[in-house]
Amino acid sequence: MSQAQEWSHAQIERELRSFIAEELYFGADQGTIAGDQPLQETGVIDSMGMLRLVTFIEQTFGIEVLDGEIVPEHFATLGDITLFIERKRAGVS
Amino acid sequence: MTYLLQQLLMRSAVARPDRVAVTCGGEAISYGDLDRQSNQLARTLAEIGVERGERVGIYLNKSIASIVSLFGILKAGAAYVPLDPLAPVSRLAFILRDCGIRCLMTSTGKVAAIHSMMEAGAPLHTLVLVDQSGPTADIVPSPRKGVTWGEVLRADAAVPASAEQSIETDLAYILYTSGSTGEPKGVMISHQAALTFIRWAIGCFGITAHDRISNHAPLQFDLSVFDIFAAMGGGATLCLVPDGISAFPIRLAEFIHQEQITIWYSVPSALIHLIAHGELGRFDFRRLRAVLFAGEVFPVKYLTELRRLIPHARLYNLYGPTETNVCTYYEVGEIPSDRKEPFPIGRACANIEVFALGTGGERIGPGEEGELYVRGPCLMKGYWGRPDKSAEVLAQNPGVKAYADPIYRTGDLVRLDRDGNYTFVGRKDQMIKSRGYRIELGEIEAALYAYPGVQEAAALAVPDEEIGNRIKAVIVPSPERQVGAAAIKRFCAERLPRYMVPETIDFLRALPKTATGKIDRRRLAEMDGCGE
Repeated sequence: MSQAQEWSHAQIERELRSFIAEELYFGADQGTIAGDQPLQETGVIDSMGMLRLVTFIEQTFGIEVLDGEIVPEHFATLGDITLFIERKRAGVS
Repeated sequence: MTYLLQQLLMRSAVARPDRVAVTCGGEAISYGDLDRQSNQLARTLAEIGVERGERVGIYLNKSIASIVSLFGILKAGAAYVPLDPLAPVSRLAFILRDCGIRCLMTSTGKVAAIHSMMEAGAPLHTLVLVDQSGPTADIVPSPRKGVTWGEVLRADAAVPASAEQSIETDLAYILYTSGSTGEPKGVMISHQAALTFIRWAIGCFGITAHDRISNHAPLQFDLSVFDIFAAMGGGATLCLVPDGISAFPIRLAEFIHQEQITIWYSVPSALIHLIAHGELGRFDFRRLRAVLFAGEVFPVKYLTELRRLIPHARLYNLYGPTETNVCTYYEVGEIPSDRKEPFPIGRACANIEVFALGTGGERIGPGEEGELYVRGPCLMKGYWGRPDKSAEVLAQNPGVKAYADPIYRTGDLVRLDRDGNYTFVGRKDQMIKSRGYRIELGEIEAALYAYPGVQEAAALAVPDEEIGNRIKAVIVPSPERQVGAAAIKRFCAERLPRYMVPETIDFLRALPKTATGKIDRRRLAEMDGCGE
C-alpha cells in the first residue's frame, strides 16, 4: 500500500469504487456508481465524505493531496479521481 | 403589519419588485417574479384542493424552484414540510404518512423514489413537477395527478385571497428531527414563532436591501429559516449554495467571494472545513460583515483562526433547538490567545425568556449549573401527532397557576456566568450533535436492533474536533449468526440519514453493564473492540 506498489487504471478505479460504496455511500451496491456519475451533485460524496476519501487516497496510493487540488476538476467523477491519482503517481500534476 | 411569513416577501416585492430576491448557480429571480410565481402556485394548489393547515411536502434539490414552492405553499394557507433529497425512501415515506402529505412539490428525476414511497403507504395524490412542461400521464400514472410547471405559470398571478387568510398561530412548517425511540418527530412551528426570531434577527443584524445572505443549510435544517425569511424581510438577496459545492472547500470560499456574501450562517463544522482546507487567506472577503454559527460548540482553536482570517467581520454564536428556533445569542469579540474554553451561548433574544432550573426546580444563580428552559412566542406548537412526546418537553411554568404558560425544557445543561451569559456544558440525555445535526443515539440503536443477528447494540459518540462527534456502534452478534460491518452499515443507510450511519462498527462478546443492568456507556467508550 505505497508508492512502490504498481496500480493499474482498473485497479485504482476498483479500490475507489469499493471504498466509496462501502464507506461513504453505504446504500449503493458497487455496480451502480458509474464512472462518469457526478459524485457530489448526486449526493454520493458529501463534505465529510470528501475528507475521508482524500485520507483514503493518500494512505492507499501513497500520494499527498493538497487543499488546492480538492476541486471538481479532480474529484467530480470516479473517472476524474482515477486519472488524478494516476497523474499524481506519475509525478505530473 | 406583518404577522405571516409570506408577508415578508409580499412587502419587499411591493417596495422593490426589480431587485434580485434569490440566486442559485447562474440563475436569479426578482422579488416581483418570486411573488407572482408563488401567487400562481398558491392558486394552483388551491385548485388541486389544498386546504388551510394542510401539509405540503417539498422534495427538491436546492434551487430557486424550492423557494418559489415554499412561498406558494404558505400563500395557499398550508404548511411546508421539507424532505431531505438524500434521505432513504423508508424514512421519507414515514414522514409523508406521519403528517399526511397528499401533495408534493418535486421534480421528474425523483418520481421513481416517490413511487417506492407510495408503495410504502405514503398517501400522495398529486405531484407538482417543477421541471416539467409537457404531459405527465406517463410520469404520474392515474389515479394520481401530475401538475406541470407550465400549468402553474398559466394561473392568475394576482395575490390570492388565501395568502392572508391564515392567522399568526397557524402552522407554517414542520421540521423532522431525530427521535429517541426510533422514529423521527415533526416539530410544528407557527408563523408567530418563526417571526419572533426573524424580526429580532433583522433588527439585530441590521439586514437591508444591500445584504447578500448565503444559504448553506438544507431546507429541512432550521438554520435555513433565518437565511430565507430574514433575507426576504430585509429585501436582501438570498444566495443559495448550489448542491455539490459544499464538498469542495475552495469552491465554497470562491462562492463567498464571488457572490459578495455579506452575511454567512452555517454550522461550525462547515466553517471549520473552510478554515482548514479553503485557503481563505487567498480571498478578499471585504463585504463579509457578519458570520453567524449555531448547532454545535465551535472549538476555540478554529474560531481564533476565523477571527484572524476575517478580522473585520462580526462573529455571532446563536443557540436554540428546532423547537424554539434561535433563542439566545452571543457576540464573540476579541479572542485572547490563551483562551481555551468555548464561548457562551449568551443571553435571550427579544421577546423571549430563558432561565435554568437546578435539580430542586429552583432558578439557578451566577456560577451555578442547571437545565435551560425557554418561554415566549418562539415555542413550537408541539410534535405532530405526538401529544405524549410534546408533554415531555412542554411544561407549565412552575409558580404560574392562573393561566397557561408553557415553557420548553431543552435538555441542555448550562452554567450561568457572572455577567449574565449562559454557557453550554452538556446534555441530560442521549442526544448528540454531529456536523450540527441533532442525533438521538436511541434512533440509531433501534435501527441496529432491527438487523437480524444483532443480540445487543449500542451507539456511541466519539468526540471529534472538526465535526463534533463521530458515531461508533458496538454490536454483540447472536452466537449462531454471521454479522458483517459493511452489511450493517448498508442496513442502517436504508433506514437512517447518512449522518446517522455509524462510521465504525466494533464487535464484542458482551456489553459492559452497570450495577442496575443498564449498558455502561462510560466503560464502553473506553473499550476497544474488534473494529471493522
